[in-house]
Parts: sequence; structure tokens; C-alpha cells
Amino acid sequence: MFPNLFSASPAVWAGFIGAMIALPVLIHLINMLRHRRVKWAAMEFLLQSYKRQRNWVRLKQLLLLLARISALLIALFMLAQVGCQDQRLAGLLGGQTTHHYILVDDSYSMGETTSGASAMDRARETIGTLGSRLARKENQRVTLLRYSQASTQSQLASQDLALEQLTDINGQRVDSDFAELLEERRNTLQATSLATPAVEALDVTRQLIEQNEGELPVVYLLSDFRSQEWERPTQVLPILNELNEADASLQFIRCATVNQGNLGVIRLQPAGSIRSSGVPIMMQMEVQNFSDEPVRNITVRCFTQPFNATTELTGQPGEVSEEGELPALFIEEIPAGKTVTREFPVFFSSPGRHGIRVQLPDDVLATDNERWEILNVDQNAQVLIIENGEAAGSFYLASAFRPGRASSGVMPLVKTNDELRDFDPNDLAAVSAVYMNGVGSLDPSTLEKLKNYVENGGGLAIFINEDSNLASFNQQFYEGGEGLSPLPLVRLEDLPLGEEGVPDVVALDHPILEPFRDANDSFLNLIQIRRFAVPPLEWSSETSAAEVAALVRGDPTWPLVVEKSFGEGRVAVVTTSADTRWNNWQRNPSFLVMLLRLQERLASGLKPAEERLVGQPVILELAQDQFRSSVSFEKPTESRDVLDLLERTAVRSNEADNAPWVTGLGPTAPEGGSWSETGIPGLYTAWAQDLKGENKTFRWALNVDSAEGDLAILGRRGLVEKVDSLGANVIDWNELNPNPQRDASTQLSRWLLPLLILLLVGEQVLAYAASYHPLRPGVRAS
Amino acid sequence: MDLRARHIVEGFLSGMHRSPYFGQSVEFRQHREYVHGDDLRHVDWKVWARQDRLYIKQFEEDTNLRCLLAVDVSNSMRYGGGALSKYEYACTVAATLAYWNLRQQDGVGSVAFDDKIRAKVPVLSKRNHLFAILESLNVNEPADKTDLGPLLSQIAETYPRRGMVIVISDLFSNVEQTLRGLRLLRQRGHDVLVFHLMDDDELEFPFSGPTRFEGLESEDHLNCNPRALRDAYLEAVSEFLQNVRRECAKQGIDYALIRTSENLDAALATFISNRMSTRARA
Repeated sequence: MFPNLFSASPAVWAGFIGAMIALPVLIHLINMLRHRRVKWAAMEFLLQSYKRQRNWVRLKQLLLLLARISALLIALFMLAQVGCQDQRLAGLLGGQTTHHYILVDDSYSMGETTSGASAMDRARETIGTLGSRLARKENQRVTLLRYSQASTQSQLASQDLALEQLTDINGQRVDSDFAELLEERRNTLQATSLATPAVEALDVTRQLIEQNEGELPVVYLLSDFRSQEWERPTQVLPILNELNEADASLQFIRCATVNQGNLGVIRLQPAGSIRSSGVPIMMQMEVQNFSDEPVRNITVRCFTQPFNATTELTGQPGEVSEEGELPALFIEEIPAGKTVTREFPVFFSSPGRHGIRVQLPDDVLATDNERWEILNVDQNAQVLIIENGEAAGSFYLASAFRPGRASSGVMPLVKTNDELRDFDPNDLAAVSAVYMNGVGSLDPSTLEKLKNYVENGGGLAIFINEDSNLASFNQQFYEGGEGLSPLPLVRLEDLPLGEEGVPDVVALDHPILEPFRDANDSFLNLIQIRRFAVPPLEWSSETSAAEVAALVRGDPTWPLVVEKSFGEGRVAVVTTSADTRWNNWQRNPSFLVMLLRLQERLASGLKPAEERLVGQPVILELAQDQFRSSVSFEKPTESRDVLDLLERTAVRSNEADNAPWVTGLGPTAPEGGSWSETGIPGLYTAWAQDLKGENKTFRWALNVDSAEGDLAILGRRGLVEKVDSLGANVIDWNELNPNPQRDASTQLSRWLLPLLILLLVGEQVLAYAASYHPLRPGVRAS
Repeated sequence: MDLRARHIVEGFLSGMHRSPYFGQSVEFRQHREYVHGDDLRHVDWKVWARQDRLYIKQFEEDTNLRCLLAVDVSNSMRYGGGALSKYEYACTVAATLAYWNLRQQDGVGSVAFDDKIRAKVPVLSKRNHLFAILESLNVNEPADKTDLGPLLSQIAETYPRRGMVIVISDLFSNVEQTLRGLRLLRQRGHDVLVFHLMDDDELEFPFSGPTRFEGLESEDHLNCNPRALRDAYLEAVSEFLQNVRRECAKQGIDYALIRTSENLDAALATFISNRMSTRARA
């Protein structure tokens, strides 16, 4: 009820209130015991008057007692209020310290600028105002905590980091040196590139309050209170409730008060899975319009930063690689709240870990205008073609991947079934897909090897041909629906010659044959299928979790290309041959397109799109028998022309002799520091040396969390509704008065003082009525 | 006590008094028509001879006054907030009146009582009789509760000859019985005077602060804040006084409320003055 009083301890207050109640009663009782004795003759009249007046006298005495108790209690509360106003007095009274926990939202949305000032600028100004307010009081302590620092704690859940280390100011007493300290610390406050929620900072505050028992906690949240976090504050509310139960006064200070639109790059990644040097690689970029209005005429700049083997070998850590700018992309319009995706090609002539950056024009929030990606470009993506029977099929497959002198970015490697049996699993894992030209009977270990390969993200394509053993296929590959194949095959079917204009192959809505979905496409119309394998009539793609990409005409139609997921990888079955004995597809240009798109699908499992956010740790593991332990990390800085260089010495990941070296950046890395080591979006490079002394590099792209770019604010009324039950005070940053004339305690005193005067007057009236005042002269019996 | 009485009387009295009773005397006072039962010896036969009607001759009685002092010596009389307690004041009043009467050669006797008669001195007019009366008052230390009604009845029975009965008491007894006793005395033809003695404290109740009142004549006690009860107490006392005063007036009893803080001579002067003016009017 009185959070600002000099003591929040219920025991202290119970003691005070009990004393205030007991005091008048005790005095009354003592007075009764200290009465004088009078030997009295006219007892009859006295007893008669007492009998007549007894109830009324008792009532008046009770009222008088209550008035006195009330007056004492109000005087106590007023004294407490004075203690609150004048903390020196509170100190003399054994008063409590008020501990102000100032939590600053430094997520990147606080960098939003309005009228030339960012929300973080306003937060800094508010902290200065708070400092001025507190300097006028005694018994004040201040803790300053940034959201980003608190998020470190959550990452270090298993580590033993003292809470105090997270704070910028830890329980500093407000004295003559405090203003200087606060000024110094608040000037260092900047909006980070992180998207840190309030929940972690509030949780740390809750723990700090528990540690500082006996103080009066006041928690200030200086934030922009975006809708994306506060519209449904399911995570925050329980902690706020806990703080409220701990008698903490909650002060929500809005540092962003205007809704503004914003554009953000929310995705940048390769469009396909083939990342080979010498072939164009399509990149996909997505821009979101976080506003209520459509945005038009947006120019997106694209940059590449080649980083090839030469750079790796001859380059030095800390050297800034030059960027090459690609033709800009132009987006005519992005509707309100919508996203637009654009693709653009990048070309790298040599393998390497190349960087790509896209950049939007400046707007109210700069942090989400850029996005980076690392393309791990190989010389060629290797595929394995397993020959089973007629070698013509392998020939067509290999030729499709290496059409003439042109490079598709895929390097075929033809092997037999026996050679597959002796293939090292690690070597198998390096190939992007396996193509089986016909299926014979595989020995169990080979089959198991293939299964493991696909389960771990590999791709497998099976072409059925004349030499295929369907019974063995069903037994080893279908396995009653549990195996690699999406469908069983029961017999071979000959397709009679079709009518003029009726194509043998019907493309369905599937990425593999997506370019040929148009029924008028002449390429597919030219394909002739003569023989193919068919599943049982009752087989259905829906019950088998399979996707059918193409059908063979007929009544009924039969599946031609069927695909399914297996573990993290994919398996595709083409029910006709890869050679010309059963069809003429190899001579059709659509075969090349189908095969390359199939390759992209099959290889996508091995190279899942990996997105790293700023603030997350970057961990590097190195084989101990190949690398030295010293590693140099390059990290971006606020200036694009300068890179930070951090030297790390890797440590063994465990006690084993052959345990790999482990090192990295960020809070959870060995020798790692705070989140700020990975807190700036951009390209990070680790330079390690192998035992021969040659450089080996590892690169990562760290980007901001795009959701934080949604600048829609909840609004004051909405925020009040969310936190109203907590008794929280919601104000705008410019409403914080540095010299409050009317704070809660003053207002309370203004109520209490007249009430006390009223009670004292009432007490005098009651005392007079109860005849505790001196006798009026001249009154006697007559 | 006798000195105090002498001092008061010497400073106050002068001359003889006239007896209020009609009786054997040389000084004719008036004729009255004969009524049945009158003594035939008092018939004025000369008037009968002239007017043929029977008239009685009445003379001023020249006999001595017979005065009985009934003094309350109960425990309630011990209370005294001032220089004298009610008991001491009552004794002084009694001594004064006794001395006064004896000096006028009137007969005077006394009765000291509480709930019963503690001492009794017969009515005599000897000059040295004053000492016996003072002795009877002095020896009686107040001890018990007043029970005035039966006691006055007893006096009425004990003293059949008409005279003056002066009751000196605080009348803290059963009011109805007290008034009945006084009424009986009047019916027996006594001239009854009541000196109602009360202390200032009893009339003004000036106490304040937590007080324990303990009864002088009972085990009753009361812890209270006297200020809170004062109005009701004064009201009860006023009611009591008015009741006594009204009944006395109705019975032709001379009543005087005397505060123990008053000077006795002044109080007596006022009383006598009032009494004489009342008699003159009658």
C-alpha cells in the first residue's frame, strides 16, 4: 500500500501498528490502575448516575480510544512519509533504502530515429533525469542493467557468473560521486544489434531483488514497448507478477511514442543447393515492409566479397577484403505489411567461402537494412552414379551433368555396385547425391550404408531399367513402406502408342518439373515412354507420404517420378530407365532440366540453410592432429573499413587424447567474452593454421533477428491495459519530472494531514464529552 | 465544643423568645369557639352569659420550650472535604442550639443516632445540662449506617410531649422512610426543624481523574472518571434535595440546607430570619 515508506518489512510495520494500537489502551489501563481513592458518603447517587450513564460513558471512551489510535497511526504514516521525503530522517528511524533498478532496452529497435533522436537517446536522457531526481534524496541505490547483458545470463545458465557482473551500475549508493558515474555509464549506452526481450532482464532483476532483501525496490523499464513483444506478454507477465508480489514499484517509461514504418531485409540465402564455382548461383532475398503504408521504388544494392583459396593462403587476418557491387535490384512496390522476394545471380570463378551482402536505402531504423550470407562454393558438387547393368544409362546421366564443355557445377563419378560396397562412409557423405541406374540385389552392409547416408541428409535417385530386380527392390528398398523407396513396384508395363497430341508424361505441381507444368509445353509432349514399372493398383501417394512429380498417361495413370523424405535426406524413384531402351527422354532438353532440378532437391538435405543471429556464440572445432591451437578471429566493427582481431588459443573439448580443439567467440565459447564479441552483424572469419603452417579459414555470416524490425508500438492505452493489474505506472519519457512536486507520497501526506487534524479535533470533542477536561467552575447541585 | 457554641450564641442572641404553644398563662391571647372535646375549664362563662354561646379562652403559654436535638452520627457524616466534617459540623450546630435553649431557660435534650439511637439525653433546662448533651455527642463515634425513618418514629413514640425536634443529618438514608418519620413527628404536634448538612464536594462533585470511590456506609465501590458521571450525579442529588425540600414544605417542616463550608452563625441567622418571617406570614 505504501511502497515508498521507510520500511517494507511486514514485521516492522506490524510492530509499529501494534504499538500504536496498544499505546492508548495501555495508557488508559495504567490510568485506571493509578486512580486515587476517595471515601464517599453519597454512594447511592454515584451508583445511580453510573448505572444511568454506563453505556454512554463506555461508548464515548471507546470512541475516544479509537480516535487516539487512529491519530497515532496516521501520525506514524505521516512520519513514514516524511522519512520518505527526507531520507536522513528515515535513516535515523532505521529507514529503508530505496533501490532503483533501471532496465534499459538496448535491442536494435531502440535505434529507431524520430526527429533526429533515437529511442536510445531518449532513454539516455531519461536516465539523466532519474539521476537528478535521486540526487535530491538520501538512502538511494541504483542498479543499471541492459537487456543485452541480461541475455548473457540466460546463455550462461550452466555457468557460474555473478549477477552483479551483468550490471553496468551495481547497487551504487547515490552520493556525491554518483552523478559522474551515471553520466559516464549512460554515455556508453547504445542500441545493439540484438533482439533481446525484457523477460531476461526482469528475471535478473528479480534475482537481484531477492538478494537485496529489506530494500524498497523500484523497477524502471526504459523501452520502446513494441507490439511484437508486448501484445501478448505471456513470458513477461509471470515475472512482473513476481516483482509485484515482492512489493516492487513498476515504472514503464515509453521511449518510443510514434508508430513509424520500416523496411527490413528478412532473408538472404541461396535459391538452390548447387554451389559450385564457375556457374551462376541464384541468391534469394526477401524484404518486408513493416508499416501500414505501401512503399514504392526501392533500390536494393547487392555486393559480393570473394574469398578464395588464394586469399586463404596468402591473406593476413585483419585485412579488409574488397567488395564488388552487383547490379542493383529494383522493387516497384511492397504492400503494407507484406514481403517481396527477389532472386539475383552471383558468380564466383573459384571455390571459397565468399561473402554476399544486400543493403536497403536508409530509413528510420538502419540496423535491419543489411544482411549478409556466406556461400561455401566448391569447385564442383560431386554426384555418384552407380551402374547396374547396361552402362548406357550411366552415360546419359553423366552427360546430363557435364553437357559438352559447359559446367553445371556437378561432377559425376561412376561406380559399380561392388565399388559402392567398398566406398568409405566419409567419402560417401561428401557426395551431394547418389544416382542408381537400375537396382540389383545389394548386400546388407551396402544397403545400410546407403540408408545412413540418406538419413543424414544425402540424396538418392533410382532409375528402373531392364536389369532391375523388382522383387529385390521391394524387399530391400521399399521394406513395406519403411524403406528408402516411396513406392513398391510389382511389374513392368508397356505403354501403347498414344494418340496424336496426347503426351506420355504429365507434369504435376512439383518443383522437379515445375518449368513444364504448362500443358502446352512442347518439350514434354515429345517424350515417349515405352516401358515402365508400376506399383500395385492400391498404392496411393497420400498414404505413403510420397510426392508424385510426374505421371505416365493411361487409365489409370501411373507414377513416373515419385519422391519422399527419408531422415534428413530425400529419395526419388523414376519408374523408367535412364537410357534410351524404355523411353526417349534423354534426347529431350527437359531431361537435363529435370535432372538438375532433381539434383538440387536431393542435395538440399546436405546443405541446410543455416542462419546465425548476432549475439549467438561462434564455436570452432579443429582436429587436434591437423591444426595448431592458436586461432585468429576477425570480427566486424561499426566501421566497415576496420576489422577487429581477436586471438584465441583453442582448448581440448574433453579429456580424451584425440579430443578436438575448441575455441570461438561469445559467452559460451572457451576463453569467450560477452555477447558483444558476436554482437555486430556481418562476416566473421576464423584463421587457423594446420600443422604444415598453412592458413585454413572458417567463415560465418551473423545477421540481426528480422522480427525486431517491426516497429509497431503497443500504444500507451494498450500497455496500461496489459500491466494495469500490476499497479504499474506507464509514462512517456518526456513526462518524467526531474523535480517532482507532486509525487505519490506528497499526495498521500496531503490526505493524511487534514485527516489527522480532523481526528485530533474529534478526539478533543470526545475527550470533552467523556469529561476528561477540567471542571467548569460554578456548576453544582441545587 | 461548648466554647464554640457559646461563641456563636453570644454573638447572635439577645432577649427572650415567645412560646409557639398556647397554654396556661396570665396573658390572654384570644377567644375560640368551643368544639366538642375542649376542656370545660377553659370555657369563658361570662361570654356565655352575655351571648349564650360557648367560647374558649386562650392564653399565651409562658412555659419553657422543649427542644430535642436529633443528631446523625452515622459513618456518612464523617465525610469532610473542608475544615469540618459533617459530623463535626452537626455537633457544633447541636451544641449551639443546646446552649441557646439552655440560656433561655428552655428544656433541651439530645439523641445521637445512626441506624439506632446511640445516646440519649433527656430534655432538661438546667444550665449545666449542656455538658451532658456535649458528652453524649462526643462519645458517639460514627460507626454504622443511617436508618432515619424508623428512628424518627421511635423519637415520636419516646417523646410524646409536644416540643421542638431539630434533626441534624445529611439524610443519606431511605428518603421515603425519612420523610415518613418527619411526617409522624409533625403529626404528633412537634415543631420539626431539619438542618440538612452537606459537604461542598457532595453538592458540586469537583473530582477529576481516575478515582475509586469507596462507600463510607457500605462495601460498594466504583472506579470511574468522575467528570463523566458528574452531570448525572448532580442531577440525582438535585432530585433528592428537591424531593426533601418539597416534602418538608408540604408538612410544615422548617428545612435548611447547610453546607459545611458556611459560617454557622450566618447559616443560623439566615435560618432563623427565614423561619420568623414564615411564622409571621402564617
